[in-house]
Amino acid sequence: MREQAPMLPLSALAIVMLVFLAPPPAHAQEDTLPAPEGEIILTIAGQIAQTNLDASAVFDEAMLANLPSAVLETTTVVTDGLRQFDGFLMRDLLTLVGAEGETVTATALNDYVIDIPVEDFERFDVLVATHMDGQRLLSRDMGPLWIVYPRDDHAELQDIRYDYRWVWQLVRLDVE
Amino acid sequence: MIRRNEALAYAIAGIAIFAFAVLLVFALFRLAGTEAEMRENERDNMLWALSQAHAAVLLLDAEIARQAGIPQSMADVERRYNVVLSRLALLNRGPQARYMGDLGLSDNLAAADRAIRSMEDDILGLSHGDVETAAAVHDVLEPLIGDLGLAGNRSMVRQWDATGARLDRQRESIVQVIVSIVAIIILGTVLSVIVLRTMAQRQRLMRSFVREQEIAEAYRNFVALASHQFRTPLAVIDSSMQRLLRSGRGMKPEEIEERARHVRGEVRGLNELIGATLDVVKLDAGQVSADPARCDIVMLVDRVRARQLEATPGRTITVRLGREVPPAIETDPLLAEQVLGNLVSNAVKYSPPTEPVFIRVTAENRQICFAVEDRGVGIPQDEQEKLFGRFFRASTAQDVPGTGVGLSIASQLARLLGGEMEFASRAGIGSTFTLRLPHEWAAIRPEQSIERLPA
Repeated sequence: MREQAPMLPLSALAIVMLVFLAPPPAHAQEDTLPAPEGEIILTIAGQIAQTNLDASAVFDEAMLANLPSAVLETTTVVTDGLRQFDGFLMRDLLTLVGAEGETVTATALNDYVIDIPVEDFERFDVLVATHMDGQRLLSRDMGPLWIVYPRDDHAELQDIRYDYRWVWQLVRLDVE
Repeated sequence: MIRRNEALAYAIAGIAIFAFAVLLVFALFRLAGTEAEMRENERDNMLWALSQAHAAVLLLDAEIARQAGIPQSMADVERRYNVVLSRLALLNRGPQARYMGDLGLSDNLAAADRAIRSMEDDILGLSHGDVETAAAVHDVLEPLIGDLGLAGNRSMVRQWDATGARLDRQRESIVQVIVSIVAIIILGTVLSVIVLRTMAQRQRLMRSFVREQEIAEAYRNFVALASHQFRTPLAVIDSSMQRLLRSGRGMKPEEIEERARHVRGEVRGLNELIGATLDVVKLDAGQVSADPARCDIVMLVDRVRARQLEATPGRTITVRLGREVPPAIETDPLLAEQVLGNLVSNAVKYSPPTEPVFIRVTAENRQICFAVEDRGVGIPQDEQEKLFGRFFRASTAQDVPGTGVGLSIASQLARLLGGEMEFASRAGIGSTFTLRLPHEWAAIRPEQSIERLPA
């Protein structure tokens, strides 16, 4: 074996190429967030790098629609049957605003406040849903935004200690 | 009887194993049930959903009243209105709707939802000072507030009842599992004891079986050996007599005398053989007992030497008596003579005719040691531990006639006399057998008297 010349494994080569070909990370972008034009749906404050209104980042419908879209099919504890949710990943949203923190405090229209560890968004594809079964979530229902966990894909998420993190009528996030 | 006991043991073991399995399965089943029940969240969020709806309706009611009195932005009213609709939508959907149905509130909630939505324009367009509209909205919200309060009440009672019942079930399951485990432990112990006892019994049976086989083998060897030992002298006697008959008067008196002496020697050998065989039987039957008396050591050794020289006149037997040796000891003189005679006769038998045999008598530790030394064939190292066993014959002794009982009898007799037998031997060089006898008879404990057939 010793007389063989050392060879770079193919997989290592592939990783090297991927690193060079991959787009630069979002937080490296110096572009500040555009100002919202329509009604403000979501406000993010706290330890974030990107802001567009005072010390916070605010989003209208169009800005949220620009985020990479994601789809999730899952059951929930407050509805019957399998539901399809459309929206974007919480992870992508936090990357976009350059969030640096351990915890995200989510606030709902009815002043429901819950702390969620940022780790959740790294471990699971947690969705911020705008649509359920193709219908836009409305403020008079579970809208405008609903935090949805991939409950059916991970047994550990089928637990009341995760159920309370499914914040609906989400309007505000504070990163700490 | 044994067969019945065995069947009973098998039955008990079978029942124990069956009960063991049943209890294990039962405990497993109860544990799995409890685990599944614990995973069920019981829709614990119903009470929370109701209280949230209750608060949302109260807040809307308050906001409308304030809007009628104090001019301010409509955004708050709209937010409160949306939250109320959202809560009602939640309660009228999926698992929540079924739960409200159980509480008997579905119709009221649906009606309240319709009534509130029908007043949407009035609520969202409420202007400052419009007390009448505010009162109308209040009339719609008030029964809903009452219903939600009542629902929270009933829900709490239901949940606490359910929780209590669930805890009872789980406690019961846990107690059953604990009892099962205790029973399993007891059964396990019983089974282990049964298994261990069976194994021990089998081991014992195996051992006694092996021993019986060994004894049977030894007896077979003895019979073969003895018949050979009996036949050889008989053949010699027979041939001598034939010769005598055939020669008739022609035989010289010296030759007749020579033949008669030869025949007598063979007869004596046969006698000894029969005597030894009888000794074995007597020792086995416990019929030999020692009869202590004063025994003169010099006389004892001389008698043994003289008797051996009578049988084998050409041999040299040298006696060396230690100066410390007392003139006499207290023992059974006849048995002591038999043991010593056996040792000397062996020494003569198993060494070349030209080699001398020594008898050394010494005294040490209140014991007299009679050491009989030869320069004979010796006993191989790996056979030495069987030496005093019944019917044992060393591989180096194959050419010499013998039955293999002599040393066995001698060592048994030595113990009967309260003494012991020792030996040191090297194949091809020679052997020394030592008989140790106590000075005084009183030192002998009764249980040392006689033993049955050694294992």
